[in-house]
Amino acid sequence: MAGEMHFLQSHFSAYYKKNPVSGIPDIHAREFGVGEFGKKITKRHLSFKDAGELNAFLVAAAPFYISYSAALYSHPAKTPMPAKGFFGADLVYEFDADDIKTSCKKKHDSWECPACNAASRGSIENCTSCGARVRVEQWFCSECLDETKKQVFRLLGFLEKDFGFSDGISVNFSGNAGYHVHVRNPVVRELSHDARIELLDYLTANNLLVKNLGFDVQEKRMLCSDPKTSLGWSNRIISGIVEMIEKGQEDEMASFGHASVKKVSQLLQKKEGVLRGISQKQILSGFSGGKAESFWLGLASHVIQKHALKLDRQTSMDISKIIRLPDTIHGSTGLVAKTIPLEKLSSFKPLDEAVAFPGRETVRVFINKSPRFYLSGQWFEEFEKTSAELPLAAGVYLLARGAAVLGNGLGA
Amino acid sequence: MLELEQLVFARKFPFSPEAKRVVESSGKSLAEVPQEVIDRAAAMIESAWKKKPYRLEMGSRELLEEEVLAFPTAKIILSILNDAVLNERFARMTAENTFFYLQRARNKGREALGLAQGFGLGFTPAEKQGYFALMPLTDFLKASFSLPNLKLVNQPLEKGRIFLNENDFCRFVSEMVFEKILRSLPVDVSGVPEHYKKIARTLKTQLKSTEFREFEARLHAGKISIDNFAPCMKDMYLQLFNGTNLPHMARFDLATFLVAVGMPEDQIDALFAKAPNYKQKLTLYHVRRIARLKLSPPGCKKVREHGYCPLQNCTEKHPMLYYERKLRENKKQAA
Repeated sequence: MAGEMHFLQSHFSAYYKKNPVSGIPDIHAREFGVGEFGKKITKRHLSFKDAGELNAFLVAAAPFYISYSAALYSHPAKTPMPAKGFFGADLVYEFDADDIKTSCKKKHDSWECPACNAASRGSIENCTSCGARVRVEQWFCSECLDETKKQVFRLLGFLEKDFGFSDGISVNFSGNAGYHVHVRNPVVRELSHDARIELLDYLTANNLLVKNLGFDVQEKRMLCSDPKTSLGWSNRIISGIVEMIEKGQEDEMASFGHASVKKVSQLLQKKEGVLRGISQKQILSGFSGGKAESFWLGLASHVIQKHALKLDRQTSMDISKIIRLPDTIHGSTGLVAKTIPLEKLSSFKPLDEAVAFPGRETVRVFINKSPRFYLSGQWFEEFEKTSAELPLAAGVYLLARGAAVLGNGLGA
Repeated sequence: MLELEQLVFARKFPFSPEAKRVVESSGKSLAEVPQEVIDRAAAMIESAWKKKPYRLEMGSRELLEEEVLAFPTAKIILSILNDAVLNERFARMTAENTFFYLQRARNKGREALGLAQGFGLGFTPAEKQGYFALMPLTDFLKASFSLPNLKLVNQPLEKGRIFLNENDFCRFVSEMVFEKILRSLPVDVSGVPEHYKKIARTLKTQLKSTEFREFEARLHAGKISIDNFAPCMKDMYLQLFNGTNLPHMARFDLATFLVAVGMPEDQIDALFAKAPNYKQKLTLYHVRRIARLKLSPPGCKKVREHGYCPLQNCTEKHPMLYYERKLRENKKQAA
């Protein structure tokens, strides 16, 4: 792999020479970490006094991975951690397509069992033949990245409408499978560890009590909050239920309310009355029989699950973690962790716009195995033990993934 | 002369600016604080330690003044003791008292607002029906709530503002009291008269021996007695109980032994909580790992290598053999 690493690093270096990183505030107060091929962090506790020093390092060292701290320190290079002198931190949320179930995984992911050599498409944990833990080869496509982007929009909604955070929000593509959202402003910086956990719990609906939010049984009536005046999660839940009723989502309501389609249909026939009851008296009515409470709470639970963000709890809570430096190359893909203006987020296509090496230059690679994939305006068919002359972006992508080597596979 | 109403308020909320004014107007130096006040301060600390409320019936003006003076006196004694667990319990007791008195106030909203103003928090009367006050999210997050219904996720929140009803606002103010008291400890005790240190030492012995008896009682209820522990384990146990910062290997050896003799996880955690740098998550991680992997306690050779054998000529082979032998002997005696 030495030849491949040298090839990639020389291209990364050339990229950084033409595309210096900018826009990161307080560089001097952040800890940096770098990684080598196949390992994201091999060295931490680095610091740079300014963007100039950082960019000179990127050109010279061309690391496969470079990360930086959300935390700010007086002495970011000192060890151990307490010696760094922590004085504040940004909020950072990561969304990864790994954590979101999409149907496209069956097309581009594959697994192999090291115990019995069974293999197939898709993404599973345990071998379907012998039950052993499998090795999964994960790829990402625009479908899974779009699903991840939806989570980003949901987060942005929470940040603005619930938390009132509108200043200092920055979104970047992760360079691989998702997006990172940074909130950098003086108010957020001073939040304690406990406060950050409260925010995280809010976003993920952890410890949510529906009874506290107005959904309770009183004198055999199922109460709810007022969709016109309720706030926060209370409003989300009742608005979600109202939407299901208004749209007549019979099957969905039956499934999540654990009720028969017939009963739901009967309710929907009286939907005007039901909606009036919600709006005027804050009562959930129209469901006959003894299972009204479990029906409505089932719908509430479904709405909560739908809106709660899929965030990795451990990484979100860890103030001392380091995360990909925006606008640097991700060493597993050769794609750029590109910062995206919020107004362009909706139309952003990472597999076209985060490509570090667009253009006509090509490279010959020998590909061990890859699924059909899209990159930089072009679809590439499945490869298996084949040599091909590919556009540089695709060649770098496969080399960085370890799915290919340089040349034609004959040692040339 | 202070109005009785002011004194009553200061006594209920001894951390408030009004209480500070009472203390200042007394004109007493630390050396001049009467014994009755010091006794009340000690009683306050003892109640906090036992996790009991400290609430006296309102009495004479003199009694009220003594109570108000007892609070900063208690803080001085706490600062000499410098025990993190005790500080937390004291802050918690003060917070619970605050909520108790707010709930019973004729105009609890007004009193709560008065206290909140003292914390420099931003809040405004609520415009929305059914709510009492609204405050910035970032101020709300300054309190760390353990009650699930006060968690942020269960609050009405809009564009960075939390809407609170009167009861929740009172609870929030109480939690801010907890934070404020805890952060204010320890106070500077340089120059404190010597007799305060003597009082602190006496109080510590008293509290520790009460606590030890209660701890032992729980152990005996689970039929584990440290009298059956080998000298090394007993020695480490008592050192930890008394707040000594045992090195990692000692803690690990002790923890494997306690798991092996069947001490419940929560009791092991309670013991380790006495360590100065206690971290519950780390403690439980190790205890559970030891239990899951069924790690064996160290033999005497290992304990000697680690430097924790307190005896010169111990002939034992293994702390577990010692323990099991003691149990057999006790059983024979009881029979």
